[in-house]
Amino acid sequence: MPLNSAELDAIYLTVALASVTTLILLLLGTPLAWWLSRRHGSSTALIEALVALPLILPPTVLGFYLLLMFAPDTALGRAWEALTGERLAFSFSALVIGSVIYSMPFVVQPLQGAFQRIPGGLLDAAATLGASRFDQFRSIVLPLSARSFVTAASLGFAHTVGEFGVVLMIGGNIPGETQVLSIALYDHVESLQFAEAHRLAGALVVFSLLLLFFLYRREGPRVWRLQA
Amino acid sequence: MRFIAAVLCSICLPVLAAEPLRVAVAANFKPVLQRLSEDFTQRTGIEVRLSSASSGVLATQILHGAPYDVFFSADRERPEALIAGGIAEAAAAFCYASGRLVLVGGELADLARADVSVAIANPATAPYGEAALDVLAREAYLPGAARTLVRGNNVAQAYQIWHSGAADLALIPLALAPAEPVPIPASWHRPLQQFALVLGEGDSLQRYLKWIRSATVRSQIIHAGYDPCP
Repeated sequence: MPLNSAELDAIYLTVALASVTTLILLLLGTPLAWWLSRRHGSSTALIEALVALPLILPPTVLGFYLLLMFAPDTALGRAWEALTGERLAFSFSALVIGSVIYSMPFVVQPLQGAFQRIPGGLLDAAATLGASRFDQFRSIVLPLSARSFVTAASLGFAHTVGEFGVVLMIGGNIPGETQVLSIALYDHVESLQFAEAHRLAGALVVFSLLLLFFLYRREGPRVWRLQA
Repeated sequence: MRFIAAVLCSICLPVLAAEPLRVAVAANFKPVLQRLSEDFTQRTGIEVRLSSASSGVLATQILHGAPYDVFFSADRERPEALIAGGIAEAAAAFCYASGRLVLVGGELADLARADVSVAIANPATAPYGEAALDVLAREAYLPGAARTLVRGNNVAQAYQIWHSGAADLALIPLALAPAEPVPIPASWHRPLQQFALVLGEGDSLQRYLKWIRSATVRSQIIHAGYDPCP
């Protein structure tokens, strides 16, 4: 089953978009999830609600706002062009920004859950023994939540691969630049190229199923081993 | 971000480094332009990337900064609106074809029936959808006003809806229709003068435009199911 160059472009773009998005989400999401897990109040509830918003909003809402924000004549559009020399609207970078927002809950929520399950006493004990905040994070939090990091990264990656509405609205379906797999598939279906559509759709089903299968298999029953 | 992406997958750098022509094309003209562009790429080695949607969707994208070199619209109004909006010069627009609307799946008389479903392109964004509404609003077809109107995002989707069997009839461009569709007289609907708008610049683009406007290509466009420009 040889893939044509447009399909290879789409696969590369999808993998690149999902990888960059996941990386940024882990960098931003970890401190955010930690902060959310240690505090409780109106301000955290509001942030939590904002993070979870993409779960329930139609992608068209986010797509619409981002489309307006990314235009070359907006403050963001102008600042981006001045900083990078590239136009933000309908670019790969625009897709990354959209995907980070759209996949945020899939990364933050598993991490926040894992962090909340870490007993505060454990950290206090470590602090008493002279461990710095960074030491505590590295020797207690990270090992205890390693599984959740894998879950968060996998879900963030998979959800970005599965994106459609936002990327269609802010990406503009440009082959080799913003035409990711889901959009290429849509293009094939619209052009009645069902053989190509079957290939891409089948590949996406198999990929997503395998990823979730391995995720659920290694998750297993949650056993938290806290003994020394 | 692009930099990070490049680092993550350095083997794919050429994908990002190449500067092909970026062409926005209304869905009705995409199959034709695809063939024409492949010919052009073969002759010149210049890569052409087509992005297809309804004219209205593409015009909105261009208004919000989409980086296309040229836009093939299915109407005259949208390129003119972009010119009025300061996106392009008045001289940048030219007519490349006149579209023809056809009926597939039945006879003209079926349009007067209320128990059929008709697939059309979304009139809000697709000129062929507006033209289809003009036809359906004719006095002779008013008895069918209660018919089910299925709206595709663009003419390609309208055709696909009919092709899948989900709609009985479809009003679509001749260029997309299967063999022997029922022609619709052009006087029954607003004109479908299709204009292109030049948005970019550069040598490759000039060569592409010259090729598109050549006599050879014009005759190929007409052969594909269009009328010449008035």
